[in-house]
Amino acid sequence: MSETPPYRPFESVLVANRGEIALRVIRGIKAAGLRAVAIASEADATAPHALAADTCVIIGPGPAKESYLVAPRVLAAARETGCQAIHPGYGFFAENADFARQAIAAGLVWIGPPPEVIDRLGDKLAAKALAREAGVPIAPGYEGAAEDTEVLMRAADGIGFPLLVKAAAGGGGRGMRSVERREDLEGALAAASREAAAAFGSGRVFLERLVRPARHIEVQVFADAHGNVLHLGERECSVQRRYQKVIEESPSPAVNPALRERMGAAAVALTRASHYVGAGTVEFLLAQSGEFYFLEVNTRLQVEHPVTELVTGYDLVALQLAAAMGEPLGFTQDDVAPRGHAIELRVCAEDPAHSFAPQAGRILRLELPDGPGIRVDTGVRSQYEVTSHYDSLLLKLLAYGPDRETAIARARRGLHELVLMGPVTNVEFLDAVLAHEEFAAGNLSTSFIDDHLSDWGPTQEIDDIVALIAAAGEMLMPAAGVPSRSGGGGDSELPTAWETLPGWRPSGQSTGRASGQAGGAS
Amino acid sequence: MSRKFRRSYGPLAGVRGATRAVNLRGDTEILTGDLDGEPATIDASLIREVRHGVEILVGDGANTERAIVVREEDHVHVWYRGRIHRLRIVPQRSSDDAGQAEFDLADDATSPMTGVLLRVDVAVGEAVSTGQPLFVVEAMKMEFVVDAPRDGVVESVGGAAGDRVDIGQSIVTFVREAAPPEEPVA
Repeated sequence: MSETPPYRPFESVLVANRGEIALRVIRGIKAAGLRAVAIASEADATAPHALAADTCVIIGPGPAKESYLVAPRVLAAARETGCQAIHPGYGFFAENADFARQAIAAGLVWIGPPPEVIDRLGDKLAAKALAREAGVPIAPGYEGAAEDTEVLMRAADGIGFPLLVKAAAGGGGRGMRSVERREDLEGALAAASREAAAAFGSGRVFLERLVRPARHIEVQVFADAHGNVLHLGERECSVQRRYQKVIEESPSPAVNPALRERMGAAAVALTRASHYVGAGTVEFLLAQSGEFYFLEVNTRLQVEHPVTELVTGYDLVALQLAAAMGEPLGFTQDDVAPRGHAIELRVCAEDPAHSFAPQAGRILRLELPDGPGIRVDTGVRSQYEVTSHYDSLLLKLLAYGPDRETAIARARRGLHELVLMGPVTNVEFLDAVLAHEEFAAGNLSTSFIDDHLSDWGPTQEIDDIVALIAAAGEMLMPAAGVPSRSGGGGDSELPTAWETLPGWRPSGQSTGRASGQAGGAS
Repeated sequence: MSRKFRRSYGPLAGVRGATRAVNLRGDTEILTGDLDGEPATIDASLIREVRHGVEILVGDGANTERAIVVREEDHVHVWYRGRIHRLRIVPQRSSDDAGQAEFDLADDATSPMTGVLLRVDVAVGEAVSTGQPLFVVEAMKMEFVVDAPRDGVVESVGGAAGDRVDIGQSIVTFVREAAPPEEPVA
């Protein structure tokens, strides 16, 4: 009814996210000369993203369901701070069409595809149907709406085993079951349906041939609001644990120029058919035969988007902002000329030796690597308290170079330079993946970790030198109970404000010192 | 005065692995002592204090490299050569703790906790045998009797009744055997 175009210029952007992606988006907004507004939970009040924005609104307590995921509070924060646009990052509201509609109804520009596009591509069956219409290869399967087990059993016989039972509304591995034998199908159907109903509110499932071994290859696409669509090459994300990506790279060692052309064309065709606007990702499985099959579309910026930025030179957040302002893409497919190789490592607070269980704790010390060929996107800092409220991703370490070998060498150099002390992380595990000869050879598949590193564990013996360093370090620490010269507060090179402002002390310390002086040595 | 430090480190709870017992002493950057009873030495000097710990330079004779040691309660984290090592401080032996054989190789006895030295039962030059009470520390209304970790002769006593002592502070040191009777130089 309104004549206001959905994509139009703006000056202030609310970033409805946290962690490394919020900081990365804020940086993009600032580089574009715009005003960035952050939201933060009480637990994140002094997190890097909260401090990097021009202003920050505290929207609730630590748990995401009471803060980042409370739509009315997020929209109120945008209104109160005079924002005209909202960037969802990834996760949280990024693929929530209802939230996008509410934001648009509140007069905000939604920095993402139109809500109806999110809806259609978010439904796996609808997306698969659209892909088929656009001539994109899809894995053989059964997509009928039938919930009759007999019908599904007959369909399964036609597809053959092993196969996958998938939730139509699914994602992240939930509502998904692989079935090796016919006799296990009935149980898997019931379990997947139950899980999907609980997680997504819909128990609808479909069947798909299990492509195995397979590589996970995805194509970055971009569309403006004027019908221009192009792709920015592929990313290989085969190294996964529990259906979650661990290491991503571009280009894929398995994709040659001819295959890139075909996959890119397929991704562009589907993007065009869906009337997409903004940044998106079309995911495929690549079989050993060289055939590829459509998997799903992610209607948002991806965690791994920086590998594409490093090899193409384009800033995807800048492109998102321009597209959301209604500007046409200023370049064509022929201008996209990736060079070199980029690799991303997801550094997480998790224990690879114990099923990658999330870890919590204070970051006691953080020193980030830099130098040639390194980029770090982080959302944490020294003294930040890692909690179980949020995703375990702490930072992304990216390395790039003229070729894959150089990128891997630089990534390992970066890992060795990284000082991340406190909670258990996967840093040593990532190094073990990079050091593996099959990884170096580019022989990847989605079962890489299960095949090669399933029984990995860190060295448990305490080396002589480590025991001696620990003791020497403890000997050189200020004596227990004796305040150090800087007052026992922060790093000695960074005294806190309380220690440098004469006459001002936190009340607890002030009394303690006064009585200590008055009483003298006891 | 020479500083002395004695500590046992084990892997984190739930992780299998051997405990390492370290004794170090020194008043320059060269620290000497033993590791599980074997003579050991390390060059270590302070670069700077950092929150929760120190950044130090360590040398093994061939290379001099940066290391970071931070402590959080009974966990000590070491960053060295690109890796994080997580150690747990293993409590020192006390009279009500049977202890492990590897602790018995220590050549001094340290205070098990921060408190007040209640009494010292031995004197310099006195021969002591394993398990013999050496001194008693009182803290939080509890008394801790510290026994001789091995046979030896008391070389020094670093405190008297009523002194405040820190956890890990060396109180009694030993020499392994009785000194030979002094003879005039021929």
